[in-house]
Amino acid sequence: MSPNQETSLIDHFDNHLKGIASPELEQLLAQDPEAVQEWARLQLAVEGIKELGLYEQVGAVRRTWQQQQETATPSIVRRLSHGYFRAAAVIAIVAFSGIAVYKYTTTSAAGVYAENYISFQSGTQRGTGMADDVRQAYQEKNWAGVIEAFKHAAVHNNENLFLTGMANLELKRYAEAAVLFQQVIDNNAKAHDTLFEEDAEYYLAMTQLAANHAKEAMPLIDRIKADPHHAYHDQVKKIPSIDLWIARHK
Amino acid sequence: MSVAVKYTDAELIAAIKDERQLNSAILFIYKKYAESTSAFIMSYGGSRQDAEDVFQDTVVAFINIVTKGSYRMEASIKTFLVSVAKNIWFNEVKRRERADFREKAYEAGREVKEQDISQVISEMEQKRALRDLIHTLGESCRKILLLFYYENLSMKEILGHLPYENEQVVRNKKYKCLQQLTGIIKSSPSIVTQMKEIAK
Repeated sequence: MSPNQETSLIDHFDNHLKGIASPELEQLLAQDPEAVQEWARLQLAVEGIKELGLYEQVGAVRRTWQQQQETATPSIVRRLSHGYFRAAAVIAIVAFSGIAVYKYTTTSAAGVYAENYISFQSGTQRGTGMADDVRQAYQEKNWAGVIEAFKHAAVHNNENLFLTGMANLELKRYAEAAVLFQQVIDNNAKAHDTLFEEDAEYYLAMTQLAANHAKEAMPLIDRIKADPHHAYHDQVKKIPSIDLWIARHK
Repeated sequence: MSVAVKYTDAELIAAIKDERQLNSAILFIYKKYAESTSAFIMSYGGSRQDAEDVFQDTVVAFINIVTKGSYRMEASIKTFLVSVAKNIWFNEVKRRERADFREKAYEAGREVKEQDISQVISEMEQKRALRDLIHTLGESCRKILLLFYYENLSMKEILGHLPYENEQVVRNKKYKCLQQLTGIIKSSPSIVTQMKEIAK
């Protein structure tokens, strides 16, 4: 087949995938055995591409699931001590007003962030998704590299949006981080999806705290705290209520 | 949305068939079935990594079956997934030619109803071979073909994801990449033979 015939066959093939019939194609396939063979190879190629796409999509969800598991497990331990912290804080306020004043003057939203921030660990599993460069730079803690890879990423999916948000947060570029986390949440709302949803909610709240925007952070914090199924529920519950109260009212 | 979606078996099947819900459905499958299936694989000598890789292959195979309309819901999804995972793992053991595992695996495998599953496994292996073939393409070619054929993006939309000058450049690149891939397939006659059934 000539190169022109090949590209023409590909056009017919793409139209065929869209359900567009072509008498010209029927004729070509009836007359040209070579075209029939090339047609079969095109079918195989696209079958393989779709298989690879699905494999990578499942791989991306697998990483989300692993990350959710990693963040959920250690926080169970912290949760046990949460009651102690809260009770101790209340007693401290009543009994030691001086300490309370000190506490009030020294606690800030950014302080709450600094004391409670934990890095997000990106998965390192098999499955080369389209966010590979971003993920690899993230795993290497090359924050600038993450942002650069994101600029050149083929797809701005939730994974690389989220990881780039995290890179910005690590670099204290709070405004940029907040935009990216919000984009993950918006994407999910649009697609009725949940990929990186809970991660984005938690780290958006942390970003707002870091930027001393307690008013923006609190609705998210309250929502996560009220939802026992949220992946970061235990993590948020371990933040002393007194600190949150001060950050909220200061 | 902060609370994970929960599905009945029938709802899960419907969600898998709905492109917009596919990610939620996959996440639900992981949350509900990954641990128990992985525990099974590990009880047959697989490592944690083996178990997770097998489960990923299992989920891909399950989605393929459902989207083709071949899933008949005769058994629960859990039973079906465990059977598929079990067979994938036994096959993997065989592939690794580790006699100590193999003997134990095949003994246990006899108790499973396998008519449908064996076809799934054979098809899955062929598709894996095809997937490996696609990995010999360059990264840019893989991306453009995935965006067009898997994500179903238009040339204009692809332009927003890749650093090309205009839609015509994207179109030309896509032609070349697809031709490159069919060329690779052409030079691998064994793949063509193996894949005849899938291409039908």
